[in-house]
Amino acid sequence: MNGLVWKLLRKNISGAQVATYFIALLCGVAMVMLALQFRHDASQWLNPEANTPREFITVSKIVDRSGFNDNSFSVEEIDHLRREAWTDSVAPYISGDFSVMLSMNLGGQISTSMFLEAVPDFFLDTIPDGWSCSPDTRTVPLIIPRDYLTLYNYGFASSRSLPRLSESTLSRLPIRLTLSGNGRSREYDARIVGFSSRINSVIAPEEFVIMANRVYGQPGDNRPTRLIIRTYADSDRINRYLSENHLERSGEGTDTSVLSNAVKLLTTILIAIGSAIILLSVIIQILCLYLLVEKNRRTTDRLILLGYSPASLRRYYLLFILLSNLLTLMTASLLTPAVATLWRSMIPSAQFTPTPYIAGALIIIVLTLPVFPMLRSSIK
Amino acid sequence: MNTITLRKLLPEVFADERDSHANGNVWLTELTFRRGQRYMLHAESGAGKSSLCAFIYGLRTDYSGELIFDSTPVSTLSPANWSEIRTRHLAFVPQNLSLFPEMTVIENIMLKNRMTDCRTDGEITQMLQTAGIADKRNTPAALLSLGQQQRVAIIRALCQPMDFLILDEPVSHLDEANNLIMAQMIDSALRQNGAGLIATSVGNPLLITPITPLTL
Repeated sequence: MNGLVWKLLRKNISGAQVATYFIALLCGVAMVMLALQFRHDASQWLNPEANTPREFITVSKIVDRSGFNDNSFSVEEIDHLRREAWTDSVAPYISGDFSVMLSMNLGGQISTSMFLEAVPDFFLDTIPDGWSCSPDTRTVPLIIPRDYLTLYNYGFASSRSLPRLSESTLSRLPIRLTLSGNGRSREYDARIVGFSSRINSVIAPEEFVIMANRVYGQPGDNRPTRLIIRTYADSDRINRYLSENHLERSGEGTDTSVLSNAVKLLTTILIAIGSAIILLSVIIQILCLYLLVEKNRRTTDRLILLGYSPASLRRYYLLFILLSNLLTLMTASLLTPAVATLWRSMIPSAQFTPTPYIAGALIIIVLTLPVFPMLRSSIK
Repeated sequence: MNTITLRKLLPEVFADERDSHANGNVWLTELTFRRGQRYMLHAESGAGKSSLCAFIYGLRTDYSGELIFDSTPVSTLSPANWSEIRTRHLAFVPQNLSLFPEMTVIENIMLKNRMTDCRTDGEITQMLQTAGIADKRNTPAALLSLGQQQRVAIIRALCQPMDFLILDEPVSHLDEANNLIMAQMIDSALRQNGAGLIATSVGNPLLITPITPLTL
């Protein structure tokens, strides 16, 4: 590179044109890079640890209008679910196939019919102290949904001027369960030992319900109607499967598919706008370069007359464009993480991804490519 | 490059008046310029002197006939070939001099010399002193007289290795004393390179000897 040649060729460079091109390209590239960064970070937020099972959902068959359709799951259906990529562990709720009468003293004796269910301990969100049961047990530990207590405190108790109950108070309440069926009946003491946010049922230890079914239940095929599943966070696939198989879900799993789709749509729009700006800046680039080459035509001809090859003169323009584009890429690469801090403080799990930077580099390479034929046809 | 051969060459602009251009030594004949020889083309204005220089230097191709460097027709040369030829084999001072008016004298010369790496700074300073324009070293070319510009253009052309030096009315604005000084400088460069000379004149010829006169 000859400094004197560059001195000749640069005299017609318009600062305003270069600034316009630089700013336009920077806006476009930064917008695309930020959109990709946001999409990546948001997906980590919406689906953290996508490869680690983390959510527990309860699925059941949708009840039809008649209310008498068969809502139970067959062994094949459960196996089919187990083979799905989004399931990690699947277990049926074990329903108590017997009558349960609960009575307790809250200033006055209350009693109500109820039911018992069980799930393997693995699926419980907490395993409280005293959560064990032997065949000759007299006291049955129970876990009830935390929502029940909330409903009582803020719905029933408030409207009836009854005292509100804390979890510890409720845990101390003496409860009596009367199990009957199959021509037999027996009373048990019971105690609420825990509250679950995950399982929306009254849960007793699995061994107890199995034993009680054997003693008080009707012999025969007792197929489950609800399944508890530990899933991989993949809302789209889960929702698709449930919809195709007429199932519905409940539980702690968060349905992030709508938000996820909104993020995808938003970032796609941003990428489209950014791409349009980049396209416009490429047009500005080519026009500015063409104008510069034409303004330098007389100088270029004289340099060629001196012995400079057209290819060597093209290199000056090319280097100028490459440096300008590289500066744009570097600025956009600095801007991206700086702007991303605005939302990254809310997503501490967000990890580095090279995708925006690779995309930015590819954009710069692709938009530099048209410069080669343009210069080749203009300086020869 | 040892020879430049013109085979029935004629500018296209003379195509309708072939007969009137068939009597000279150059057009529509077979003429070979040889390395080491010196040629002076005399003709009145409009006879095609500058056109011939431009044809040989590859700036124009609006002619009929053939132009051959050694055994290579110039029509087969690529832009890269021409760049090599203009850097190593053919030196040229066009009639319009083609200086860069906004650049200083030394910058104009260094534009050539940095490409060829032919002359040292000391040699260039010596040439400027010999030509009597050392004090104009840092003056923009636009501010020089035509005679001074001609001397700068000649020095620039001599800053390269060469087989032939082509000078298109190089001293038209020089007095006899400066003509002789530049002729000596050119003679020295030609001997140093063993190069040939093709010069044109329309009345104030370069005072260099010996030289073979040709008419167009």
